[in-house]
Amino acid sequence: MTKKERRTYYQSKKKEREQNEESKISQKQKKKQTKQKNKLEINQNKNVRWSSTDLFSITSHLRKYHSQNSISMGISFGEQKIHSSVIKLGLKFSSGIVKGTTNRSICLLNVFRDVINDMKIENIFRDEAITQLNKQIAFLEKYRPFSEPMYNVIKIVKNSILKIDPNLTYLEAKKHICETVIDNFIQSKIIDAENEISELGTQKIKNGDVILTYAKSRVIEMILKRAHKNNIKFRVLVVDSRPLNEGRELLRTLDKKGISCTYCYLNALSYMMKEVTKVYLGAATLLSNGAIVSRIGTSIVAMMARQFNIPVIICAPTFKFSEKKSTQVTQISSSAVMIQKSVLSINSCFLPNNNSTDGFHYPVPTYRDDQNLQIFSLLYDVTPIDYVSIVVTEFGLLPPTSVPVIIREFKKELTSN
Amino acid sequence: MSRVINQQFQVVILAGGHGSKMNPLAKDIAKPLLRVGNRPLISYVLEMMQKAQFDEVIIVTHSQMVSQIQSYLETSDIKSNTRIITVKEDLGTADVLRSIREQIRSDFIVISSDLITDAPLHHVADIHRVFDSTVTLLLHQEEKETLTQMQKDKFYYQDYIGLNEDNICFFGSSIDFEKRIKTKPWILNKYGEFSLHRNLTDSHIYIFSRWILDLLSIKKEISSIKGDLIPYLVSKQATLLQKEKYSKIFKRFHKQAPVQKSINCIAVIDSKEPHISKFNNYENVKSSNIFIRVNTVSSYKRANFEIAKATSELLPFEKKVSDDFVDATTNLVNDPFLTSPCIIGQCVSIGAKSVLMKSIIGPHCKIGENVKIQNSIIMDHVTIGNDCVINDSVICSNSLIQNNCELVSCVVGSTYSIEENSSYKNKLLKNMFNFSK
Repeated sequence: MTKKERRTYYQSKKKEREQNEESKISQKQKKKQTKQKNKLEINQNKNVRWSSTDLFSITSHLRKYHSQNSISMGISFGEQKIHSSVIKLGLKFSSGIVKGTTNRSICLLNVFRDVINDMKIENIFRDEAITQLNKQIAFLEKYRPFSEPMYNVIKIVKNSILKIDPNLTYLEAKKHICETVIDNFIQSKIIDAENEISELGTQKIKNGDVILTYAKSRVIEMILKRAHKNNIKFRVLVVDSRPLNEGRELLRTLDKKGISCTYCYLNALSYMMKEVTKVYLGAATLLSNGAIVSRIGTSIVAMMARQFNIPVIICAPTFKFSEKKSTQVTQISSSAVMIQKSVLSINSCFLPNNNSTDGFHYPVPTYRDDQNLQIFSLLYDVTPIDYVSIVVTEFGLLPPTSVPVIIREFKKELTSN
Repeated sequence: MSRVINQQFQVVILAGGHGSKMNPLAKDIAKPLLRVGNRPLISYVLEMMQKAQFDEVIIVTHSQMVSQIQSYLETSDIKSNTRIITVKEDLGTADVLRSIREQIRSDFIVISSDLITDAPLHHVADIHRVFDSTVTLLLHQEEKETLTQMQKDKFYYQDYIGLNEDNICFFGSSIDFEKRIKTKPWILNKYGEFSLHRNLTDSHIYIFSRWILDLLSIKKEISSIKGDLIPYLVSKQATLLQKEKYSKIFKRFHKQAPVQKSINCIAVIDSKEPHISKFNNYENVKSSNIFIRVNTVSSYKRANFEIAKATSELLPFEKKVSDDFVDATTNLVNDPFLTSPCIIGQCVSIGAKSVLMKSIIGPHCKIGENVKIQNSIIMDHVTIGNDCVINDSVICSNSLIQNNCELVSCVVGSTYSIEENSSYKNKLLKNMFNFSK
């Protein structure tokens, strides 16, 4: 071969070699790509298997809520449809600043008062007031599910609007609802009722009693303070549980008054129950078959007390009584489930308030990194009628079987008003 | 269909400052209309208001500035309803609130017009709503480099802010204290501990509860928000509502809340580091990208360069042409050499062989040939002759700089003319008499 031919020959061979290498590289790349694709698919399938909101089907029927801010609620500064106090209340509910059924009911009524006062009515007071209220209620309910007494309260307000004399002027109608219905309800059915309950409740406390209470209830706090004022010598055992740690607030207020208190978590209950003489518990709702819906952990306390033959005294004003039965309520009772995004810390050494009050810094993984981890905090549970000894309402001390009688009376009042 | 007369927050923009700390810059032009990045200073606040969808904005100025601000508002395309209210001159910020009392019907936000920021206002408002606070402040944590820059300024003072989680325990500034800071014992009773911060700057964004206006009408000695009102509220937090005259006013506006024994003064911290807030949802809350209060010459310069860098959503009006902001009407025919980021306004003519490095040039300027402008801010209608070197300076409007001048770190007032072949360094050049206005 001549030089030229040799050159061209070797050049062509070089090209071939390069092409082969390229094809090899591209094959490798292709293999990599397919591998990655497969991985993605598997990952996606993983996510599909565990649905985006629920890891377990047990909790899929529960109504959940978590803390919001105005952007997640879709509220801008120019919001016209939702009243400003309703927005405030929605934020307070979802962030957990306002807790407790009675507190929430009072706040709800105050918000109704504001909304009705600020309404501008064009035609018929009745229809427009109800449509407005429905709007605001629908907004609030999205961000934290209501408890039964709140539905009772809403019914009462709506019924009174429907029964308004059509001849009244708008101002008079507004005044009627705000003063004779809402203010009257708060004063008589909540505040006066709680005072009455606190008096009746102290009747059962004797010198030397050890009273157990769980988490924090407005009425129980009033009873204990009143009993202390009446110079009865007793001591209190406050039982508490995570994540809300409500018992600490009760502990603080009782301690300030000079009542001698002990504090423990729910897990120490079987040990501490030996010393206890009476158990006083609050309630969120009282159902028509005598069962009690209350802060989660209450049924455990009641059951333990029953085991030790200790009387369990439930204190609740009558507006908390509901027509529903406990079979219907398993869907509703545990329904308020708080999703805690803040339980786990994010990189810094601080922990959010809930945990730092323990004084310990728990090393905990970050929430957002782990998509397979969801945190639910159940809020309510049902105590069956067998564990309840007596119910204290503003009408007196009743056995739990009398609850449907009271509900019937309550209904009569509703219809007559 | 019925409506609810809904009063969310109202905004009050305080636009009555004279700009006394930035001496020649705001002499001939109202300070809110001073151009930063070729945009009037007040346009940044108004843009923020528009993004937040406020439907009613109140601007408070005095009579000298009203006509200028009004004409600006008419020409600009701001959609929200802006109302201008005139007040007397020489009023303190709290006196201003007292005089516009009837216009305010709900909780309100006070912002000063010289603030350029994209801080999350909705977060501050949420916290104000949740805690029913009397006053909610936004505090900004500066980065170390900007802090050292700011400390060189002769008008710089530090804020001393005592915080316990989000509650403000102590509020003061270094102007008021020489040697010692006094706090009161009730703070320790109530909170147990608090941390004193020196690195937080007060943004002058305050959200007040409506009952403050009634409080101001009783307490007539309170004249300035930052100097008198907030320290007063912070120091009297626990005891204010024990006096009947105050608790009566408070209850009128806070019917819903359960019985409150003390007022809440809350601070929201805006910083790049993740911080712990009592209100535990900070998912939709980003820290601000730009945060400058323009009240001195150095902060004016800093603001201009920050806007030119375009780190935030607040951008100059000019369109972006490959890292610079050049207005459409200027033609860069003579192909000047630009080092980004620059901002060049309308109808600017630049001579051949000129070099512009990181500068801001206002509209209708004429720049000669062979001019080197570096790190400078040139306002509108300025004529610069040939062969000039301008470095790190601010040149106000209608000035004339003739050929072959050299200006290093100078501030040139408006309608000032600099002669040929002159050179100045670190000087403030201005006219002694006011020709305009």
